[in-house]
Amino acid sequence: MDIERGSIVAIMGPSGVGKTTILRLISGQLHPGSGSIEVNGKEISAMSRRQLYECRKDIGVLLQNGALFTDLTVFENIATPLREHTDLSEEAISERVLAKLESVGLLGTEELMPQSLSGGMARRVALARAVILNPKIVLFDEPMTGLDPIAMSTVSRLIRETNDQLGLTSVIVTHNVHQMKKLVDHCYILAAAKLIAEGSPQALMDNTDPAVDQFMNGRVDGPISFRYQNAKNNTTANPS
Amino acid sequence: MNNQRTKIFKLLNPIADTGHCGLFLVRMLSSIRLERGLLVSTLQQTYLIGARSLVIIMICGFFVGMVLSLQSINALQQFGASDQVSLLVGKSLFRELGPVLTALLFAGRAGTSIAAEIGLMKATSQIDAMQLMAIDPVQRIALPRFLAGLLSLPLLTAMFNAFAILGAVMFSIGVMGLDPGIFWSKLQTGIYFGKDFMGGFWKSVVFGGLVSLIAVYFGYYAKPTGEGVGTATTRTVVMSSVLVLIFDFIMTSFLI
Repeated sequence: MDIERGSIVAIMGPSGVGKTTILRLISGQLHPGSGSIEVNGKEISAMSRRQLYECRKDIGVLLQNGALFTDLTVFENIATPLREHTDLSEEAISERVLAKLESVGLLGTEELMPQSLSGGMARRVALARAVILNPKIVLFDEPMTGLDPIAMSTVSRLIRETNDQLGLTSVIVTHNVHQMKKLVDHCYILAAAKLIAEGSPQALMDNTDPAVDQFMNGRVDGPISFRYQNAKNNTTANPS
Repeated sequence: MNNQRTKIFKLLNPIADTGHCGLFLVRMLSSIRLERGLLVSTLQQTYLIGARSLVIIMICGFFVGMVLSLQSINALQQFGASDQVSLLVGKSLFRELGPVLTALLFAGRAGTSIAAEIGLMKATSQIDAMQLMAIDPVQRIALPRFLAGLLSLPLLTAMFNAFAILGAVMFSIGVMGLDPGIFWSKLQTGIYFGKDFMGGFWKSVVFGGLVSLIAVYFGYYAKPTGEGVGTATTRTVVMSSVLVLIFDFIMTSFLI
């Protein structure tokens, strides 16, 4: 799997197939049992904690529920990476935070606490926080889940805009086929812990492979089973 | 066979946990950097867990002082020695009851809130988010709370003692009509700075470190679920209460 610089790539597949695991591998939270993962040309699993933390400054992550710090205001949430990793003055920090808030359309919420934001607003604040250090790569873990259709489109447009404005590389983990068709440049589809297909969203829609077709069109019947399968033996019946 | 082996390993769990907790302490202490951020967050936490515990400490101290003098006057009267009450109250307060009771109250009031707060941060992936932002959560979250606990408990113990003496004064002088001159002079001449006051002070420092280490540790390694956070807070209270009493005995046998 190669992810090209400057593109928006989606990793899709049914729940529980290991999509989030891939993000955790890229960000170095997990180590691969075998194989290798390179970020900006450097092997991530071979790094010490200090090197890893240094490397993570180039990676922004948007976690599933946003994971905003509940004891800090919106402003302080977005300012946290700046305060930690830069020596900017208070004015410069304030300028950059407000500019980011403006770009996600939430100027005026800076003094609110995260609890008083709606789901879509919280996701946008988390997006602003993820890109405040101008990272090279942004990882999105299910950025659309639990949002209403309008918020979904807003977040999806923001991902496209920030990607193109800042020259980012975005990796999106999702199972939302509909939104992805509009947003991404390239897709990978995982099923049963394997990469089963890749290509542009349109190419995948036209793909005739039964598993790909089943996933893209959301059919119940097909090679991808929705039954619980034991990792050791795939036949759940007759566990002799 | 396998089953037996896991049972034996379970028996060894407390030892492994102790080691793990010790390593956590080392990791926390080695992440100390002398910078403004740490000072600010430590003071903030000292306010949140120390200053906010003041009221409960003062009320409890006051009533402990009253009940101590009530019991001792009752007992001492039988020997016609009721003017010794301030000495008895003072010795038992400064040496034992002050540090121990404050530590137990602190575990219930502040220890639980630290464990629950950190556990909840974990459950809502805030700790994850921090690591992904290349911020060390041990340094940013755990360390300030630990230092604040270490700083707060001796101060709270001092307040507890002061209010307990006040309670004793009000009861023995105000209610029982003891002579104030005798009360204060016995207290002044009978309580030694080195043995009584400093002995209690060292205890409170150790208890402060112990309770806040346990709270931070259980919170940080809580399972990221509602149940996990609940277990972490319960274990914090149980473990810190038990360990405070055990350490109290060990320290007393060296300090006496």
